[in-house]
Amino acid sequence: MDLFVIRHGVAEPRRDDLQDERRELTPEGRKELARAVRGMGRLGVRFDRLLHSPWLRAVQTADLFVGLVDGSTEVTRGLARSPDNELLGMLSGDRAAVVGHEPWLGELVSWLVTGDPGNGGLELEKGAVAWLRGEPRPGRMAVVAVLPPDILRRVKR
Amino acid sequence: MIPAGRWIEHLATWLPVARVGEDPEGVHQVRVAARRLDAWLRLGGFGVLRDDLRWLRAEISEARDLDVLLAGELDADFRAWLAPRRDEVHQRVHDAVDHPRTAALIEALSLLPPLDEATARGAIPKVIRQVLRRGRAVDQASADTEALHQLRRGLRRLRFSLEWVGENGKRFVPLQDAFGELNDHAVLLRWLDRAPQDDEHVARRAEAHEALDRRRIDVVQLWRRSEPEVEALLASWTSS
Repeated sequence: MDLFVIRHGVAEPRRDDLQDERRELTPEGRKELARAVRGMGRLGVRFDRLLHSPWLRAVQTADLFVGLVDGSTEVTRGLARSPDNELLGMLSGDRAAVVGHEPWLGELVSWLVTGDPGNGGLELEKGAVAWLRGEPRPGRMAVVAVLPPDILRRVKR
Repeated sequence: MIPAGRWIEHLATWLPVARVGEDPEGVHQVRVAARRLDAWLRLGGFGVLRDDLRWLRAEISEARDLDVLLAGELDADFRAWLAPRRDEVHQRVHDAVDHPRTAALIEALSLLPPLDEATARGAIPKVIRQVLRRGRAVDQASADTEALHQLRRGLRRLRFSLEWVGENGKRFVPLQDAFGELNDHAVLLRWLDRAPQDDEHVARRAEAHEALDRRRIDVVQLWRRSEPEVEALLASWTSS
């Protein structure tokens, strides 16, 4: 499997009067992410399946990527908490994408690559994509590339 | 602005009723809410969450069809065979309501901001055009069941979309009802195909098939009479 681990785009800052789950992408964050998605498309990236967290910034991010999905999308709370076997069980197909949040995406990558979710090491910036390859089980994947959003935005036709 | 809150609450309210399965209204209202929310998402240009709504509708759809069938007139033997199947069909509803995907879907829908009204109204002509395209496919294919089914879905979506932007969608209710009856005949045939094949059953099936064919012709004729109204609707939405 090729697994693309995607952190949501730039969102409005945290505020006491705003629930974390309701934070939206900023207009600039949305524009930049849309350019990054076009860049991924120009690289020929497609997904069989896309899973995403239910939180607003992840939903909005996933929605921008939906044009790259050949199969179906699915919302899951498994991407709004620390990764677990239930989430791993949902990873299927040849090319899957997950859209979620730090620190949990970092834990997911660490778990899949080293077998230990607490191994630290990777924190994705907003709008970045970690591309993994292998079997979606602990310790059975390798990092192919980490694609920062500013690089993706620069991919030309 | 067009918030979806009322219909998200409607969905959340009726899910536990559908789960218990005693009141057929539960499954019916979950399906109604899911369809209206799908129309809302499409007006907003959303691609995500629609597969989740589609999954939920697929999980409950057989239960709804069976409830409608059992509420109708059936001969005693067929009803005696059919009624016990309700429990196994409703187990699927029960499992879907309890599935984590449903809770995640409700959460995601609840977090979405209202639609911008101008964006939603701007999407209406496309919905109308889709109905007209599907209507032409019906005209060309004569009375192909799949083409009719697609037209039915398009009309339903048009009705809900108009209602979301505060316009009258009820004008399409008679046409929707006619399609609904056609669907009821198709459902009856599907269940007859699964029932034990004895002589009485063969006669029942032949009768159901004739009723379906007659209804199909009626629906196509009704659509042809309604088509100019839909064309006029498109003209009214696209004239400056």
